[in-house]
Amino acid sequence: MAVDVSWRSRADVAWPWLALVARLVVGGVWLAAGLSKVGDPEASVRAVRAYQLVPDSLERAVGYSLPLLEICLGVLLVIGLAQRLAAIASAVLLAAFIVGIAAAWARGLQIECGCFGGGGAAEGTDVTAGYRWDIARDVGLLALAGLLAWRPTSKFSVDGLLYPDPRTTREVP
Amino acid sequence: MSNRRKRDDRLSRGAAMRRERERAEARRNRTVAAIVAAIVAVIVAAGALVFALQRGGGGEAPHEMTSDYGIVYSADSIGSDEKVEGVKPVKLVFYEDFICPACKAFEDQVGGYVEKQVKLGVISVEYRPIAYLDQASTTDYSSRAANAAACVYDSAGVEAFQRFHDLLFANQPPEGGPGLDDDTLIQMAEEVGVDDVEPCIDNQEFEDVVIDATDAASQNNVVGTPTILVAGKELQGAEKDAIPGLEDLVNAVLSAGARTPVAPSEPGASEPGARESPSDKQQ
Repeated sequence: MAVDVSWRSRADVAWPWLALVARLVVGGVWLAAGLSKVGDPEASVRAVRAYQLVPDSLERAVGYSLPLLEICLGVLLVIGLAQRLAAIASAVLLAAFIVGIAAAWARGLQIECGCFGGGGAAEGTDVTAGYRWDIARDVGLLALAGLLAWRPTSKFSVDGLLYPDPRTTREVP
Repeated sequence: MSNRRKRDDRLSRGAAMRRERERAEARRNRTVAAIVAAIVAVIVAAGALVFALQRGGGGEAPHEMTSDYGIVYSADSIGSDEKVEGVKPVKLVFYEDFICPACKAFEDQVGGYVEKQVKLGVISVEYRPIAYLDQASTTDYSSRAANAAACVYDSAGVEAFQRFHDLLFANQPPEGGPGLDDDTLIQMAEEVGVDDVEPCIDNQEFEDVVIDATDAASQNNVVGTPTILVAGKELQGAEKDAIPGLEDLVNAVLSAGARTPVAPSEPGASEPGARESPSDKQQ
């Protein structure tokens, strides 16, 4: 009987590599975003405040904790530990960001997203184009996080060391 | 009989293997939870340490600073001898960051107008220097420059502050670099006749005041610099997304009810609105 190299089995081989790329992209973006903000937490608080979405009493807590949360998610994804949990948390956070940016856009606020430091007023720039790009980027990342949450099996992950893939370790009957 | 026994054996072996697998999985789950908890704890602890080293505020502001950390530049505060009696100045507030290019562009346009109208008593300006853009330099130039301006004000008053403020914008360093160093700031203070602020600038004596001023601005819904208030109303550029310029400022001042005085040096400029055409840029 001929070996059945079906589309499905090819996908099974390719998936861990795709998942690795998704993991590194989403994790890398989290690290870049978190590290760019962690050095100036007050700027992060101002960026949060500029959205006018979070109650005054929580602005400082959100502004300070967001960079740390992003770094945590970034580290977990890059090393590939607790991937499904990290991917689900990433998806939730990205969805919240998309809602926040869309809300700012809809209300006509003239602000920058503050995703990678900075934030606050957008000056002398095309605000609409900024919002559009920010949302497009976050939707793309959300899609990658969703794929990872769905099937978190990826190459070179700590999860992989702790949970050897049954498909590759299983004895051939 | 023997077949059945074999099957029972197989079943119990299978159940044992399943139990073993489940135990192994539970062990791994505990391992993952422990590593995740450790990583999160390390990151949060490191972050908390960074934050603890940074968070300041609560310092004592130079006396006569307003409760919003402003420095009032008015005919009264500088004792102007050109002040026209009976004119109530329109109150302006400038939120500025010394490294912000848009602030420099704004100052380049309006500086001459502001100086003249303040002396006449048509407007007063409350400067509120803030540090929104510390990330735009590698040395927190925004904070250092705002601190230096407070030092100059504390030492020598509003006129020296105003000249120092203009000098800071005239020599504004580019974003992304180290900004001007403390020695340069000290030299610039000397240029405006203030020679006793070296320790104040070196030690960033008003660092906490700058932090408070910056936070107060943010809580007043200032989302960027420059933010210009004319009689309490935020000045917008005429064009969408544009930084306000001289024309916008003049129009706003006039529509805020500025009483245009008959300036001694400008006998023909008595009509409101005709006094200051936007193309008439003074330096």
